[in-house]
This record gives sequence, structure tokens and C-alpha cells, in this order.
Amino acid sequence: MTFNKITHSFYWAGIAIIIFASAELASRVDDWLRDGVSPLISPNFDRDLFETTEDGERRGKPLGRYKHWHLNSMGIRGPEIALQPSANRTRVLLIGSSETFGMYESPGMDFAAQLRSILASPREYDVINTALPGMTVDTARRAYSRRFARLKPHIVVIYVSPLFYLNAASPEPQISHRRDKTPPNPPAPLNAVSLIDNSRLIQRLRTAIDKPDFLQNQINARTLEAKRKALGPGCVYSAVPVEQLDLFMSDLTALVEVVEESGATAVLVTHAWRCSDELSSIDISDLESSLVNTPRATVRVLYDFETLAKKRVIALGQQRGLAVVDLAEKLNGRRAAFGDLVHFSNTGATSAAQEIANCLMSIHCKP
Amino acid sequence: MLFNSLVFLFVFLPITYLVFWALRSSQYRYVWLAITGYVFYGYWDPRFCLLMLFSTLVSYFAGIGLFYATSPVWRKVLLIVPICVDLGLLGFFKYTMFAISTWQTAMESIGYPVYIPALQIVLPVGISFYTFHTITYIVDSYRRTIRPTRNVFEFAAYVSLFSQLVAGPIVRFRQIEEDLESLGSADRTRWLGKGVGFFLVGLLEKVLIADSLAAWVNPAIENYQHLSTLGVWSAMVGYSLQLYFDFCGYSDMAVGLGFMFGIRIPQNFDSPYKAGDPSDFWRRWHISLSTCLRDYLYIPLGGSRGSEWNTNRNLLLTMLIGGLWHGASWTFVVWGLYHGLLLIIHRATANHWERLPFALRQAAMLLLVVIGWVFFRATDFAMASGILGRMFAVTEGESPLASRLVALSLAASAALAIWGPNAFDIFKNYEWKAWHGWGFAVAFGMCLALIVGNGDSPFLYFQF
Repeated sequence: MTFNKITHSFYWAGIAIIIFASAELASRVDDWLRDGVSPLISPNFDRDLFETTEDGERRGKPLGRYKHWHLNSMGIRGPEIALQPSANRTRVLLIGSSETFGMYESPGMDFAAQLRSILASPREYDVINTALPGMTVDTARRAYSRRFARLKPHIVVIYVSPLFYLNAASPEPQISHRRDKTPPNPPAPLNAVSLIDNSRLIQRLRTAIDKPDFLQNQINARTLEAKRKALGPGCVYSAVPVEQLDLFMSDLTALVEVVEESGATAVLVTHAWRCSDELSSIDISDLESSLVNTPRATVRVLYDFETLAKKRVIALGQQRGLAVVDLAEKLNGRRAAFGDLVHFSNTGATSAAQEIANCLMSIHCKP
Repeated sequence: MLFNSLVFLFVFLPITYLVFWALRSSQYRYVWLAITGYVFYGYWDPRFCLLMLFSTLVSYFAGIGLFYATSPVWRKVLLIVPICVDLGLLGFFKYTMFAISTWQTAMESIGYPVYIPALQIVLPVGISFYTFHTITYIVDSYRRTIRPTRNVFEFAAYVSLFSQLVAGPIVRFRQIEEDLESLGSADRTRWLGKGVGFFLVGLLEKVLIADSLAAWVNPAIENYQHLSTLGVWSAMVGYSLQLYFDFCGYSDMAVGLGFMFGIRIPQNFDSPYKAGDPSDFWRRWHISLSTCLRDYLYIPLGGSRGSEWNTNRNLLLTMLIGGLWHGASWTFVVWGLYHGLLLIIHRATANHWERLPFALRQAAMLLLVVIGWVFFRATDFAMASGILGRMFAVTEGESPLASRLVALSLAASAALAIWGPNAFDIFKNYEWKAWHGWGFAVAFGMCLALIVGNGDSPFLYFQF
């Protein structure tokens, strides 16, 4: 190799390093300016937003911040709130998991924030979003009893996912639906892998670049196979697991009872998703992709479980005289309303907020 | 496909560039540019490639006809027919619904409501630009300003050249004819550094300045009803700067891409917010459009050769058409008329105007331009009057300037627009040095971080 070629190679290697270094610095400065994230730390969705208490309860970290997800001093998303509701204001509390927490929506466009905006005029409602990603119905009930009932809500809107109940006999809180792939533990000592994992530019690239469908499907299929293998033979449901459905309804009923015991009115919301009621090929493809999150189910079981759960939620509402917002009826099949199978896009969040607002304003639950 | 997208930067551009310079003859390069132009355009919607192909072939054959035809009648036919075809396409796709809704509104207002079923007409991206390319080619061929090309691939490459295809500049064939003719012998490195420099400056203008402004300007204007007087003014000034850097950024990127492929694309913006009067503004803003309107509309109408009344009429008509070109909405028409009136008033008062200190003239011109942008930005007259009402009547409310970061970004971008150099100033007598590569690398790294962090952000002028 001639001297010229060597210097040429060094020159271009230097260019590449400068591009990467300036891109990394710009990413950190941009995060700092937009979201207040210090340029010196390595943000992590799970570590920065959530903590596990001594008694094993998973909750939001007070004043936790990750990108545009900011938690208040209570560890819940939204503005600071007073313990006691103001006079002449109706306090609405939202309870649920990642769909309610808000994952894909732009800052300020999650349905809780939009609900807050809609109900801001005529300025009589406070909206509190207590949802956490991975919160099951049972953990929601416990969190409500321990922490949120003292906020004395007048109305509690319950938007929970039945799909957790396809995973285990007693579903545990899961860190689900995260788009960021950094590990949940604090970063390991500095090495090449941790440099890549902690690089803000690499994180942005991972979010920005969608893997081609065929590649993602292959990855999902391999992951699903591994999970099923770990669960053991015979783990896959051949039909809808009725006992799991009953467990979901039993937990949901218990949650409603706890809400009513605290003096609040419960409002149920049926779980919506991207699939239409008559499955198309694209819906089936969607469900196949999502089996990695519910490895014990098949596409048919997943679809039937969701459909039956919706009917049972509506029946529960009728039985107990509760208002039910049938979001599934309004949004199922509207692909533009969802960022993935179950999480809302901005459009979906707007529709959800409007539907819930319409219901709340007709309830006339005044302090 | 956006210039500020990963697929363009890392897939389309490298492949197009490497193959182009690997090919050795003009003919092969024409074919390659034409193919890549259609791939670029088809990325938006493949169906509209046929439309562009149709417009290209009509104009090409009309040009061939004009090359050979000597009969004045036939030359007139070969002028009028393709122009009618192009304007017909533009009229159908862009103005049909506008015409229908205007007709319906007019009939309702006189008590004769009519029902016309809504047509779902999709506006092909860039149609306003490539139809103007072909129209200027036909008119120049008719006037014998250029010699029409007999090479269909050369012409196709000109029409579909991806760098200016969807959002300009409006490049006339004669402006790049010399470079196209010598494409086969072009030197790859001759303008490479300049091209990369222009492209990166444009990219910075778009992703660093325009998109940063858009992050607060768009929500502020959408919620103008909650803004104070100061808030509305800051939002509109912010929009003025966002629009400038967005469009100028795109044009600079187009110029840079042209240089990379051995083609000199003319300047489209010359620091318009430094203008001291309306004429000066239109010599600096969207230069390719204003010169087209001047050469193909204003001057054929008579220009300033006739009476004062005729000159004013010609000015007003030209600016009205210019406004309508931007969009099928009466707010654009009013914006065009507004600037037409400014030009007329300036003509009548130029002596007095020129006596004012330049700083005062510049400030006044900026103020007038910002007011005009209200009509450009508003979706309807209710919104325009709402914004103007809050601008000129003291109103309480919120202001984006409450955020120091917003105030800083507004001040910095205003300073750059009003006092800073533009890309053509920066690269005026440019000579490549090796260390420039480091600077380009830093700029590219910054842009890359913002592109992957902020997602797709289309250019504002794509809607035209």
C-alpha cells in the first residue's frame, strides 16, 4: 500500500469518526434541549421511569424522566396534583397499562393528556393518569387500594388489557411494549457493547430504522419458538382458556368493587386493537407478529379471547349498572388509530379521548 | 423520498452518484438520470410517473416539431397545444375541487344551491414544478431562445432530474443546456466539494433551523386563539423564518446535488429578508418562479411598456397568478394580490421610499412580508382574520416567547436570515481544501442525529 493510499485511508477513517462523534454529541445536546435529559447520562426507559418497592410493587419513579415521558412527584404521568380534589371540580382517574400510559403518541398527545384538554373547558375536571406499562388488573387493584384511592376520585376510568391473562395462571407485571432495547440494569463496565448500548445515536437509529417485515417476522418466529420451548410441551392453548378469562373477569370485578368502596364511580372501557372484527390477511399477520408477547396463544385463541373478553366486560357493566365506553366498537379495524396492535397513535388517542369525554360528560358526577 | 431521509442519503444518492460517474458517455448518463428521476418520483406514488412521462413526451415531440416547423400557423399550434395539455393537467389535478367549491359557494350565495359530488382527486407531488419546466421549454423553443433537443433521454433527464423535480427551483432548459450537453466529459471532482457544501448547508437549514422552528411555530399557529398579541407576532415571525429556511434549504440542497452531478442549478433565494422594498424582495425570493412569471407572463402581457394603468394591471395579474400557483385557495390569491398591491404602491412612491434610511426600509419590508404570510399560512379567511385581529388589537394570552429556548431560536434564526450570509455567499469563490472535509463531517453528523431523532419532516413547498 502506497503512502498516499495509507494517508487517504486515515483521512476517510477520520471523517467517519468525526461524523459519528458529532452525531453522538448532537443527539445528546438535542435530548437535553428537548427533554431535559443530561448529556452525560445513558437514559433507559425502565430504569429511569420505574422502580420496585421493598414489598415488590412496581411503580413509577417520582420525578422520573425519559425522553418525553415525565412523571410527577407521585410517580405518575401528568402535572402535579393535590391530594384533595378542589371544590366544584370532578376528579377523573385513569387506570390501566401501557395503552393508557401512552407509548407511541407525540408529546402531549396520549389520550390522558387529550382527555385533560377536552375536559379543560368548561374547566370542571381534573384528569389523573395512574397507568403504568405492564400493569395488570390485579396490580391495578392493589395500586388503587394502596395509593390512588386517597386521591378521592369521583370517577375511575378502567381501561385494562385482557391479553396479559394469556401468559400465565397469575399474570405478573411485565415490562412490555418498550421500543428501546437497552437492558434494564445499570450499564456494565465500559466496553464496546456497552458503548453501543449507551450510544444515543444508536438508540435513535434503532427507533428510526424499521426492520423489513420478512426479517422481523423471522426474528419473532425464532423468539416465539424459544419461549414456547422454555414453557415446556403442551403450553400452547388449543382453545380459549376459559379459566383465564374467568380470572380476568374476577380481577376486574374486584377492581370495580374496590373503586366503588372508595366512593368513586367506575367506568369500564372495552379493550381496542388494530384488528377488524372480520380478520383480514393483514390482521392475521399482525396477530402472528404479536404472539411473541403471548406465546401460549395461537392466532385463533388470541382473537377469540379478546372478543370474548370484550363481551364479558360489556356484560359486567350492564350487570352492575356501570357506564361502558365501547372503544373496541369504535376503533377496532382502524389501522391509522394504532401505532402497533394495541397502542394508540395520535389519531387513535384523539378518538379514545373524545369517546371517553363524551361518556364522562353524560355521567354528571359532581362533587 | 425526502432529501433529509435515511433512504435518500444512504441508498438512493450513493447508488445514483456511483453509477452515474461510472458511466462514460452523455447518452448513458442521460438514461441513468432519467431512470433515477422516475424512481425518485415513483417512491411517492408510482402511478404519477405515467403522468410525468405523458407531459414529457408531449413537450418533447412539440419541441421536435418546433425544431423543424417553419410555418407560423404550425408553430403556433405546436406552442399552444402542449401548453394547454400541461395547464390542463395542472388545472385538473390542482384546481378542479377549488373551482367546484367556488362555484357552489357562489351559487348558494345567490340562492341557487347546486350539488356536485365530491371528487377524490389526489394532487401529484411536484406537478406545479415539472409542468412549468416543460412549458418554459416549449415557449423558449417557439421563441428560438433555445434549440430543442432531439435526444429524448436528454429531455427526459432534464424534466425528471431528481434534484429539482418535486420542489424546484424551476430550472429552464437553457439554464443547464450547456452542462447537459457536456455531461459526458464532466469532471467528477470539479464541483464536488462545492456540491457537498451546498447540500450540507441546505440540510442544516432544513433540519437544524426550519424543523426546530416548526416544533413550536406549528402548534402555536394552530392554537392562535389562545395567543396574546406578542405571541401571535412571534409565531408569525417564526413561520416567516421557518418557511424561508425550509424552502431555501431545499433549494440549496438541489443546487448541491446538481453540482455533484456536473450541473449548475441557478440560485433560488438571495437572502430575501434583506430586501429594502417589494421589488427587491421578489428579486430575492423564489427567484426561479418570479423570473418565470416575469418572462412568460408579465412581459407578454405588456410589462411596463404601456401606460401606468396597464403596468399596474399586469403586475396585479402576474402576482395573482403567482399566488394561485402556490395553492388552490382564495387565501393564496389574496396573498398574491397583496404583494401585487405592494409592488404597485412601491412603484408610485419609490422616490419617497428611497429617501428613508435603509434600516427603516428593511424593517418596514419585513413587517409587510410577515403580514402577507398570514394569508399564505391560514387555511381560510376566518383563521387569517383571527390572526390579524390578534396582531393588531392588544390581546392577552399565551406567548411562545415565555420559553427562553424558543426566544433564543427565534432571535438566532432571524439574525441569520437578516444579516447572515446565504449559501451562495459562503461558496462564492470556493476552493476545496482537505480540512473542509472535517467541517463537512461535523455538519453531516449533526444533521444525521436530527434526522434520525425527529423522523420524516416533509418540505413545506411539497404541497405546491
